[in-house]
Amino acid sequence: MGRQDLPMGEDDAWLDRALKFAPPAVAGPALGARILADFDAVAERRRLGPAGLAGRIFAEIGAALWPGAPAWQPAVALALSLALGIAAGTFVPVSEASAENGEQAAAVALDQPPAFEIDETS
Amino acid sequence: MIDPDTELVARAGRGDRAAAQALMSRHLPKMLSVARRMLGSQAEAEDAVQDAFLKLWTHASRWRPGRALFETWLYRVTLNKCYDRLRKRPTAKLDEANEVADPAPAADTMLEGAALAREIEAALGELPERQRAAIVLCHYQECGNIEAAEILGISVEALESLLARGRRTLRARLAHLRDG
Repeated sequence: MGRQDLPMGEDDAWLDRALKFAPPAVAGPALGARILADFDAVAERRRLGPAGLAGRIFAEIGAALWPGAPAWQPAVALALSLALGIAAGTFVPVSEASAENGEQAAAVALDQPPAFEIDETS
Repeated sequence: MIDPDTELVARAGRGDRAAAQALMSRHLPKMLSVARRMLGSQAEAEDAVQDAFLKLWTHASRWRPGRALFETWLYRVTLNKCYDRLRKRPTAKLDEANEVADPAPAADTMLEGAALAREIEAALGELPERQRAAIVLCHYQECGNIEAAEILGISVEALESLLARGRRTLRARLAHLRDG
């Protein structure tokens, strides 16, 4: 529509005709596929529920840490290390653990000047 | 008020892919058309529409018919996604849009449909958001005033005011096409 094609009559009719020239929007198949992929993801999340979703996240973490292994292997490794840590914390006496360490815990008053000199040449 | 989409939305909410596909086929062209004219960019329009449908999929199981037609709700969601994107746009992009809309392009260029289309699109893009939405809904989507007012969440009188101001601005903005 060039200038000579534009109707010179009533303003509104002219504007209505001019607006028809705005470019159309055509949905490509890729957009439809993206939208349906979103639907599939939402439906999957809904189907799994919160527990299933947590299991899936755990399995994905396991696959990242231990690629190619079945999900039970990282699960067992994690459970064993957790059990060992809890057992050590529960059954090993605190005094024994400190003695083995060979270091004395020192209490330092933060509002007092230090009781030692720092050798500036070192 | 019978909503032709109620059954499809309920089925999509239960995970029925065929229902989701039917809803998409029915509404995607209209929503994309709105977003394209609101945003002036095909890529951004596609992203906005995808976001709107994602919201639909997550809310479909909780959809309760009766308050508003499903299509009205979906239009509203799509427009809100467009507003979000318009507000996030850097100012530079608006300047670029203004450059495209040179008010006095060469006469031979004006004879080309593509150039005219760009001119119309740029003029639409310069309208304030609400006026643009009113024009897009009433002119391009052929919504009635009551439906358009409901989509925009305003009274019919307010819609008519938006339309009148939008059309006046467009007439002034495009006057050189007619009078030149």
